Amino acid sequence: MIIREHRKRNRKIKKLIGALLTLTTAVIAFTTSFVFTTSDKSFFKHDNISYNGQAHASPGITGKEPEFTEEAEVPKSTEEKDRKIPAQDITKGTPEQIKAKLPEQIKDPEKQSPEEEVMPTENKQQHLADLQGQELTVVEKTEDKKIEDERIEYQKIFQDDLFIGDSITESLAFYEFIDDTNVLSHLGLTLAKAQKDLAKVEKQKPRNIYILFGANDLDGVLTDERFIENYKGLIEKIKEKSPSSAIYVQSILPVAEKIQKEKEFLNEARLTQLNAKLEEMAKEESMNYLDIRRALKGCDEKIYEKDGIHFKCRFNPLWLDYIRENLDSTN
Amino acid sequence: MVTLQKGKTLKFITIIMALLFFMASTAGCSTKSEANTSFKEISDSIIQEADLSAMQAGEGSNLQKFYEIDPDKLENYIIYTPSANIEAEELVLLQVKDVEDMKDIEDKIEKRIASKADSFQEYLPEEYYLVENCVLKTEGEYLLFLVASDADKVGELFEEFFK
Repeated sequence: MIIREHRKRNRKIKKLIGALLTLTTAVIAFTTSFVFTTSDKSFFKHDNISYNGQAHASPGITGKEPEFTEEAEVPKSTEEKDRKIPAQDITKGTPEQIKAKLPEQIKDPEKQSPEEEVMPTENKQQHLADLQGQELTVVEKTEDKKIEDERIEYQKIFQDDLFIGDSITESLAFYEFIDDTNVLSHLGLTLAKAQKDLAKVEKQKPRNIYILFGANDLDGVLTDERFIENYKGLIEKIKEKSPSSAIYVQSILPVAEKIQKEKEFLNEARLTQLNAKLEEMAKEESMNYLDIRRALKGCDEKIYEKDGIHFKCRFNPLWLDYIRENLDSTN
Repeated sequence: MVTLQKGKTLKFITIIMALLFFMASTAGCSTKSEANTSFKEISDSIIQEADLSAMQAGEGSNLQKFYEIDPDKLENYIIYTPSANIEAEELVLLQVKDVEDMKDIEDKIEKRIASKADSFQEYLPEEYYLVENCVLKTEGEYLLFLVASDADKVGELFEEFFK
């Protein structure tokens, strides 16, 4: 009799343990299946944002069924099953549309960096490097290590100079070939507007000042003579602010053929004529003239940005090399 | 025959329950790596959703250059810069170390927006339109700034993480 009672108790205890183990297995299965449907193995870790501070159960209780008997009152297995598993609340915080997209990324969730599988573009590979905590190298617009070193060299060479101009000049600073402090420019700057803000000239008293204007000033109305007058007006102001600076007038750069057709006032004939007048003005004013159109020698129209007026990053070192090589010849 | 005294059985069950409870509660603990994982989730989704074709991946020095934001004040960030000075599209997603710094960072980005709008307004109307319709959202320690044609859609995606 007593033995039977013991056996009954043993069965009860075994059932209870079995229920506990089942519950634990269910939790593990649920969380594992969730991981397979998401791209993030960190499912097992708490996410404050998605879950609003609620913890979720971590699976992990496995083990052999212990051998024991007992007479104790134990919670019923149904109570264990009814206990809320915070992990199920995860679905509340995760948008369906995001989850719908993520599964196609998963090929092997055991891989450490699943992003690698779904980052085909160069930008996304860079992002992967970010996320892996790797220190990024200097971003190369032309992705050329040599250009990166040259940038530093250009910044040193021209560190005592100042470039004044419109958005074409602005690209020197944007692409970091020249330090921001050595560039006075912005989109849409004209000869007239530039006269109003020469604080950098006055403050820095540059060794050399390189001026480049044209695309914004020229329209269907402005005459060549008026353009030259405006240029002289700017140079006068610059000389007032920094009499010791050597001034270099740079030739107006050509535009792509499609733009020449759209805007006849920017066609090759007009610009060639205007540049000749610029060179003449420079001589009369005892200034230097740099024909930077020569920097485009050997380049095709792929050197232009989509708008056919501005230049891609790789034009900048060509331009600076031309200046560097021709500084002495102008003196 | 397996036997276990009544007291030991209860103790055994109690230990199992305690262990389960402990694991559940410690799973809820937030660590620095878990915060990083959250940022990773958000950035992964945004990277996947946003059209970055007109941008280039940037780095900490770009944060300084374009926004005057000190990257040392950030726990995590990703930055995509315009591919040319005449283009407007850019992306910043960041997580600050101290939420007290968020206001200052937001102000700096607004300053950048104003500057870009001023530059593009007269000469590049299409780029100006993108700037005017940019997205700048903050949620606690997270900030998203995006100038792109799909900025609204990505902004909504960002907000979904905080619902």
